[in-house]
Amino acid sequence: MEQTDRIDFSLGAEMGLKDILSAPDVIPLLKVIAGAGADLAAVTDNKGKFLWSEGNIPDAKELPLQAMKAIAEVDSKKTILEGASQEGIIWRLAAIRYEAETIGFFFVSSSGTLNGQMLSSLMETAFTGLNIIIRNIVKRVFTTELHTTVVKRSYEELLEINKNLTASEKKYKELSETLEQKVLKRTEELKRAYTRLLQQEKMASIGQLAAGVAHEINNPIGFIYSNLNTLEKYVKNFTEMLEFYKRQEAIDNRQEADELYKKLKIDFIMSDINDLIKQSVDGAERIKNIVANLKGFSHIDESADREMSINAELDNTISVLSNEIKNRSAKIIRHYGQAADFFGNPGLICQAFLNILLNALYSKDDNIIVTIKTEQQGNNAVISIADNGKGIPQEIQSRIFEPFFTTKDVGKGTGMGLTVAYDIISQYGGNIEVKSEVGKGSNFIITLPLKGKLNGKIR
Amino acid sequence: MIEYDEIENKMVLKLVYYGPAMSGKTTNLLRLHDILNIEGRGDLMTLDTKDDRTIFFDLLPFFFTAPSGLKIKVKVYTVPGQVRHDATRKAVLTRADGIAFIADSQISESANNVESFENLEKNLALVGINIEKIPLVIQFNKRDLKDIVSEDEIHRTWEPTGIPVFMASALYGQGVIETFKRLVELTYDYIDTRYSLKEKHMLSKEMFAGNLTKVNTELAGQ
Repeated sequence: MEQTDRIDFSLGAEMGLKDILSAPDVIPLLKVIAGAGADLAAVTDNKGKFLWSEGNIPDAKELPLQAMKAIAEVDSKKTILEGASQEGIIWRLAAIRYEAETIGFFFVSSSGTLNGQMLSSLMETAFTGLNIIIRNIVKRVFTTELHTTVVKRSYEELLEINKNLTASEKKYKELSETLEQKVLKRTEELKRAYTRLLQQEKMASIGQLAAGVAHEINNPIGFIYSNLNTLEKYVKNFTEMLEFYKRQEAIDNRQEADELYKKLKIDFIMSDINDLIKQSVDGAERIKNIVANLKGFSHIDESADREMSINAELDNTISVLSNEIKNRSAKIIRHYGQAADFFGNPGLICQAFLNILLNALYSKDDNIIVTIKTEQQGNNAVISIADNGKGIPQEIQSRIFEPFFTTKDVGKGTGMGLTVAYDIISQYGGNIEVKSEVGKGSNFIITLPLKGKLNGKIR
Repeated sequence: MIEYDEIENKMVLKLVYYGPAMSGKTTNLLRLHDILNIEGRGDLMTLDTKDDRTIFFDLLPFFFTAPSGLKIKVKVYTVPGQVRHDATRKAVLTRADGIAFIADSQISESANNVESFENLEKNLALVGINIEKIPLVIQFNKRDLKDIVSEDEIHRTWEPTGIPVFMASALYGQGVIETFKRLVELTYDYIDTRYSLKEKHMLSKEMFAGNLTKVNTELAGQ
């Protein structure tokens, strides 16, 4: 700022006579003097050399000797010096001053045409005229200089102001642009956080419900199961006793007993009762398994991160989905590889697997095959869940993780499944990559960093 | 800031009369023109004015030769005091070698004096002149009027700054020469060390100031 505000252009630069006067300013005046009877009218520089001259002595280049000798005297005076040579030539000499400094001389001479008085008054008139010309030119030069300086300066200032304005405008524009981006980003984050919260809450209440139900069922199923086993033993005893009685000949009402035996279909009961009990035991066992799975899925007892086997959690998720898999008549193929334990919240990880698996199960209407592969790549666990469904069109691939984005009919899908899955995986520093081809199917590749126990705790 | 032409053996100095509008800057120059001897002093050049208010500047030139042959030209400028002519003020102030600040003594003008002095400080900084170093004198003009700030108060205010203060009534020619003389002397001190005026050019401060403040004897005799 300081630098550009400096003006190098200075007012009132030093000027010589030739800087001020030009031929068209002087020549007419000199011509008038010569026409009025002077032999020679001349304007010289400060050394007495002619700058412009008019008259009958065209060869003269400088003041005549006598006048030349007098210039120092004229310089110190403000009056017109009068002189006459032995040849009868009379002359007048005056100093031309600019800002108090002598910058030239004005000379007029006559050899007889004019007398001394006439020459003096001619000189006086012409010299006054010349000074007026000079004065007016100088004024004009000053005014122009000042005007130029001020305009130049104002222009420079305007340029500077404009530059600063442009810069600040750019700054604010950038700020507003990034602001918009920031707001968008934050809004997105908030939206995600909100939906995650919502989902977690939902999951938590489902989990609590499941745990409650599981707990309530667990006790009765426990004594049902154990009683059934006891009952089986009892029935065995009954059967043995009945058979023993049947073999006895010496019974009073033999015939009556046989009839009743037949009527009550004891033979059939005896052959069916074991199946009955066996089926009940199986059923009770299945109920026990379902309850165990429910408990395992909800992880209601564990809200904290812990070590877990990804393969086991996948199995867990698949068994929770077993009903869905049966309904969709889908086939699950597992290619489990070896992977180190992952440190995280199994409830959340299972939720992510579940959402992606559900997506795969609905990837088309029949003959669904879902292939699940797990392996360890470097420090990452890589889980790929591939289906042979309809595939995701290129143009919507970037949107599938957006909250509330769904291709299902209104009311059928929440558009939250993949969003939640994505959020959970990113929460653990992982990511989900999608490879999909229309008509061939989609592959969701989940990468989870295996941070180890220690790192996991620091996270 | 000084203009020094070695080939021409010439030095050009620029002194500026600064101050608020109507404080009497042009009057100061007019009186200098009247009082000082015609010898070595040029005519007062007044650029076009509007209603007697300076809109460009006035210029009073001086010219003399030091014993060494060094030609010295001193140009004394006024600036337009009106606030709106700030660009012109800056242009005139550029490369100044000394400043006389002409203040208006009237109590009613005190605020304008302050404003103008602040403007001077600002503009000096803008044209790259250090106000601490440049020769500066202050003149409180219009002492002949009523309702003026007392001399005691002025001295109390300005003494701590070390800036020479003069009382003047430029309209009657009082204090005008004193102000100018001190400015010229301070300017001599300011440039002497750098251009060795005394040693190289045998030009003492007295000669320097004397050349610029030769009072017209005819006038003095009246």
